[in-house]
Amino acid sequence: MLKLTNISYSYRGKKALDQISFTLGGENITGLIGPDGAGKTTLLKVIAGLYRPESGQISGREGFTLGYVSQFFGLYGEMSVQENLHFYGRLNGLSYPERTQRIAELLHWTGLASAIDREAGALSGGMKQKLSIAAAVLHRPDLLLLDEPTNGVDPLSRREMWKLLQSVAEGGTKILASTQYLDEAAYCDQVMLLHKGQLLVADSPSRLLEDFPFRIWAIRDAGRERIKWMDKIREVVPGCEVFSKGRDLYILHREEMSVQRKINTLLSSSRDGLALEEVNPLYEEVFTQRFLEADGGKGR
Amino acid sequence: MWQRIQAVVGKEFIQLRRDRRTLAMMVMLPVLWLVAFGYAVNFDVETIRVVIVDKAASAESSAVIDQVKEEEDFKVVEESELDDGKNRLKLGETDVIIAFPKQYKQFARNKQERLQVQVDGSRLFQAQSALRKINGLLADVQQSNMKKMQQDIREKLTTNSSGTKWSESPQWKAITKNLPPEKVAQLQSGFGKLSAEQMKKVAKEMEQSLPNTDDLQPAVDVLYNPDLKSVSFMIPGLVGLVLIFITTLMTAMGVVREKERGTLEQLIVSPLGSFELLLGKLIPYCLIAVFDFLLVFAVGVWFFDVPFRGDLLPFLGVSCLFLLASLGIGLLISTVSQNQQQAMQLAILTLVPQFILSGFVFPLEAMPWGIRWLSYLMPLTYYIPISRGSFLKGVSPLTDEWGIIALAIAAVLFLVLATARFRRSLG
Repeated sequence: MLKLTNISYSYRGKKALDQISFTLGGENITGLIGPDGAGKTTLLKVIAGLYRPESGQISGREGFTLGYVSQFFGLYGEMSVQENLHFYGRLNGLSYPERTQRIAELLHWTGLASAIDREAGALSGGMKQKLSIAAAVLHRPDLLLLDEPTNGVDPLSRREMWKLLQSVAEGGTKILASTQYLDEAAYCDQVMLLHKGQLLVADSPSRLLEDFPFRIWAIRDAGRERIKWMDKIREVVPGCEVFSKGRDLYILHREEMSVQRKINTLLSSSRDGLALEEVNPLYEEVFTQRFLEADGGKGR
Repeated sequence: MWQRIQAVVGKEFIQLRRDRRTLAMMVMLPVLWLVAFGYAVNFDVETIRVVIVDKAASAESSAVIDQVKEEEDFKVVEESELDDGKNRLKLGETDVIIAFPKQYKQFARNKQERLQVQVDGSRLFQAQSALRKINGLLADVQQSNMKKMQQDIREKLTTNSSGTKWSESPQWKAITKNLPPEKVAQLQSGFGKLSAEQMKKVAKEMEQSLPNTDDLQPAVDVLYNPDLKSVSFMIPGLVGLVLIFITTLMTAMGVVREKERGTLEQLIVSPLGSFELLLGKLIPYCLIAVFDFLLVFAVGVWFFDVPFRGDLLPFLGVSCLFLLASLGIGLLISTVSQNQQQAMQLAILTLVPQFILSGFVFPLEAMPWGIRWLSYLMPLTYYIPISRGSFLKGVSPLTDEWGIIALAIAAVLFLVLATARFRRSLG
């Protein structure tokens, strides 16, 4: 277990981390979620030992092994896939037979077996990321830190990457991965929301969804009249949040029955045949709400 | 620990093998320098172009001109007017003008009789060579003239002492015209004996006071580099220059490249300690520097015939000390630089002054103290005299205690500073 207590770190006079405390090691996959500049990379680097915190403590490091995958490709581009893996294996004290067996296993697992002799620098973005992960888990670390592993990766590869991470976690390595894609919380056992250097919340994603204080309704295919309807809804339900996504309209409000009734009444007067349906909240809305609250507003 | 260091060393060599440009630079740089300093850099200009303007047109001037023409190093053109010669000098068509004035005398007694030589000072090395060669030639000419004059004097004195000339003089004839022939013969024999003895005495005195022209020139003995070969002067310095260039440049680039490319982060997160990383990084550059050092040494000794007269082992020991100082400088540059470009600029900023101010080419003694103190901050300044002493003079490096102390201080200082900064930048 790695325990962080009141960790603070400043970069060029600006507080990048402010009194962060949490314990790692309980959950298999922890997602570190936050917008750009939230302090995700800084926090990961502090845990990795790359940055020394200006105050606070990290306990439980003794005998705790780490793997780290940085945001940018950090392996040797002019060396082949195999040479890179052997190098990191040697650094981590694996003997030649151990390395050979583990590398074969990882190459098969990541699907890089066919690229074994290719220069790492010549691999595609997704392959580079897989190689980085393979190099970081060669020695089966207790904790794997990943800084935005899915950044710039296409949606299909993102899903594949998370599957890969899930299988790493199944092997007994705990994972702490940062991401700016809010929907990736679905792959995590625990989510930590980081905003402007502060840890807003650390909980399971399902609990965060449950605790969402708003209800969401959708009007499907509101068509060209969307703007007109948005104004009308705001008029009959003061204080609600109305926004459009594609041709659909979404309404967020804390109250339940009165809102639904008022909008249904409004819709029944129209000849467009529009209907109101309640939808489950998405991580995007849940987290955005938390960030807005942290910014000092009351949310929606 | 050694497994991790070996891993870093192995990785460095793989990277070097792939990075053909850097590898080529490390092997080609010493070879290029060897060619440049062994063949091309020669301060002695072989052929001097000479314009001769002979206004005297006398036997004496012709004798000198013949001597000049006989010299292989001089390429002679004759001009009738001094202005034409000066024009050629201005256009760079000649290096020297030798002008004989109308009243030219080999033993000149005033300005009008003196030989005039004009040299193009804008071409420094040609001018220096030309002056050296012309002075040598004129000294030879003067020497042979002196010899000739001495012979003349000796001949005249000895001729008079034989008594054949004065007996034919009008004074003698006037005195003896009324005397009987037997009296004249008697007188002649008496005077002859007396005058021959006096003349012999004068001749002897004269002989003693005249210098021996063969011994007139000083006995110059050039020790340690008798032929004053540039290459013998250059190679011992080049050994040091190669060491410092390769190690400083490679080390400076090596660490900062990891930093710039983000690979350093991975190394720090790994169990690799900062000291292990440092050693793993330095060992390959040390090996390459030693290889280059031996290459320059071997080519210098066996190909360019530069003698190595000193003790090899102490010399290698001092070279290692110098190598450590160079590595320290490189490492320090690497730790203070943010990227490879900065590191390269800083490396050049430290190497170029060493090239100019260390005494590798230009003598320290010729530098004003305002600049010279800078030289004493550079390790190469201390290494070059030790190297030249070992190569050419056969002096043991251990006799230069101050040089060794300075190198040791530089090695410890730069390495400690660099290691401290390196550890701080990692941690």
